[in-house]
Parts: sequence; structure tokens; C-alpha cells
Amino acid sequence: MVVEISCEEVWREISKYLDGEISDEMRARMEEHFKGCKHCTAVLDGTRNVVQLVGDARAFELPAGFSNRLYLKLNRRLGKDR
Amino acid sequence: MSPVYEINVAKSKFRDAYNEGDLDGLLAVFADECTDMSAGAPSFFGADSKSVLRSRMTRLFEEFSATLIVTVIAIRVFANTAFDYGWHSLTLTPRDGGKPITTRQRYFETWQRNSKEEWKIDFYIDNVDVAPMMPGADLPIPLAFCPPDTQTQRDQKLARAM
Repeated sequence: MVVEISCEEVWREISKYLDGEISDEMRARMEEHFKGCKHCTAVLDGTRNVVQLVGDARAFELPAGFSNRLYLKLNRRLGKDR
Repeated sequence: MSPVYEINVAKSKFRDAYNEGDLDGLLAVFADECTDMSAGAPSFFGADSKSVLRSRMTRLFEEFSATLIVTVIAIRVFANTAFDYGWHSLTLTPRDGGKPITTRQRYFETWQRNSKEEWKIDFYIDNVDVAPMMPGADLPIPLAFCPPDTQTQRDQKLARAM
């Protein structure tokens, strides 16, 4: 018997699921849940896309001096808020 | 075992009992005294509920084979009481070879942990699910508050009263 799992539990475990860091039992429960839950399947696909995007260095090729400008801008903003 | 896991196990037994046409297994998930407010059926309370459920499910399993897909959205536990809610997608295939019917209900139920430490459903209510739509595409009033079957029942009551 594959034991049910709630959407909330799926969301908590989704990152570990993608990283392959969950037990076989939990994987089976989540896969059974995805079959019937469009919402969680959408969350899974979205999370998978984000993980791939973040892991792809080409997508985040930043212009020269970006880090420095961002740092200065954040410092200015934080200074204003204080 | 955590209460959330225990309720998930009980809910899985409920699903499996449905899919295997196991009447006793299905009834075992319910408390001896429960409230049943299933959509499209009269409400039943206390000990009556279980006998009504037995007779209703006997007929259902005789006439149809059932495939139930449960999607639990969340489970909340407060000591010996808990509730969960989600969707039930039920496909009924007539045993005489007719066309299958599928309905998707959104349900809410409460659980009580009995003296044997078993979680049992003591309240159940559901209604027909409605497909997602954008907020701007809301159902026109009064349809959203008074669906057609309710309107028909009210109109019939009014007609009888007049």
C-alpha cells in the first residue's frame, strides 16, 4: 500500500525529492501524489526549472561591474532605511 | 509514527477499500457515531450514519466498480482531534458494462483518536469541485451563492408553500 501524502508535505520535501535525498517510501508516496495532483506537478516542474536555471551559469552572465554597482546600491538603500 | 502519518495511513485504507469494493474495510475507517453530509444526499447523524453508509455503499459496490484517487491538501492535528481536506476523484464503472462516470469532489473531514489510539472519521462533508478560473471570471451572483439545484429545491418548496 502506498500511503497518502498531503500537498503541504510534498512542498516541504520537493527540494529533497529533486536532489534524490529522500527514502524510497517517500519517493513512492510523492510520485503517487503527483499522478493525481496537477497543483503539485506544477510546483514540481517550476522548482525543477528554477534549479536548472540557477545551476546554468550561462543564464546568469552578468555585465562587468554589476556586483560592485549592486553592492553600492544596496548600501545606499539600507542607509536610507536606517 | 506521527499523527499526520497515521491519518495518511487511515486515508490510504479508505482509498484502497473503495478501490477493492471492501465494504467492511471502508466502514472501519469511520467512527461508530459520525456525521455524514455528502453532496447530493440527505445528512445523517450519530449511529444512523454508519448503517446508512453501509446500505448506500453496498448498493454502490454491487452496481459499480470504483476507482478513487485521493489528493489530500493538508492535515491539521490538535491532540486527539484532527481535520483534513482535499479532493476525491471517483470513477464509477457500471458492472453491467455501461459507460464510466467520473466526479471530482472537494471534501473536508474531521478525525477523532479513540481509546485504542486509532484515528476514525467522525464528520464528513463534500461538494462538487469547480474548475479553476480567473478572479475576473467569477460566477455571476446569485449563481455563486445559490447553485441551480439549490434554487430548484427552494423554488419547489416555495411552490408547495404557496
